[in-house]
Amino acid sequence: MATITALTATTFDDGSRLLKVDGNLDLAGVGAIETRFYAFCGGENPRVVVDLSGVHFVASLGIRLLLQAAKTVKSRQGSIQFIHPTETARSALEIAGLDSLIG
Amino acid sequence: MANRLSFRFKVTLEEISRINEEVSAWMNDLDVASGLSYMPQLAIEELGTNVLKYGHDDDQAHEVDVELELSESGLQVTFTDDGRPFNPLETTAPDVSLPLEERTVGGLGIHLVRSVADTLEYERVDGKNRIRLFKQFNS
Repeated sequence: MATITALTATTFDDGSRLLKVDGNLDLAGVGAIETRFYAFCGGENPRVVVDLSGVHFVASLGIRLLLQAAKTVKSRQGSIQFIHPTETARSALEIAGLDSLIG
Repeated sequence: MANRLSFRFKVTLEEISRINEEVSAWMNDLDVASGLSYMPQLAIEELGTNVLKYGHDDDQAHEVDVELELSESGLQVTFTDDGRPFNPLETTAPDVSLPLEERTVGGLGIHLVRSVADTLEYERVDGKNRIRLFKQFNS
């Protein structure tokens, strides 16, 4: 059985958020976390850091999730950063033109 | 050295996930570098969902064939389906250089597959789409 993709969210005292994704960002993985993921990208001036060190596969739906999150955060005058991407995640971010958001 | 793995399966979301688990296990057993293992799983998910969404007018699950061949030079994936003609080489890549505000979130699947593979060949044979992808070692 495949491991279910998990999202661990931490909100710090200053309001910034750390989202750690563990598992695949494929059809099943995105479906498992997207509602909560987007919820943490809301509010005013959201400051979001996404830890991708536990993501070993990214399909187009995964890129779509990260791109939509980045657009949402940007439209709310916030900031988003992708940190510690695996080799595969980095490659997907580069192909999708999101590598400028790698921190 | 030549190792082959082939599947014929009805395309559903569950089957795509199951096949990719088997592909992942096969590549782990063969100790394939992670950079190489990305391409086949991506191809199966993206091409599979493409067939599911756009390949047919009916609601039936249709069979596809997937063959993986690991050789001394690299990994080849052949994906065959009987859906409507679809040549990935004729798709337009999204402009990923646009500012975030102007970007649309769709249309990335085939772009990802084309970018991750070193070569992509397409032919329409006997009423089927045959897409052959190759990824070299160390590329």
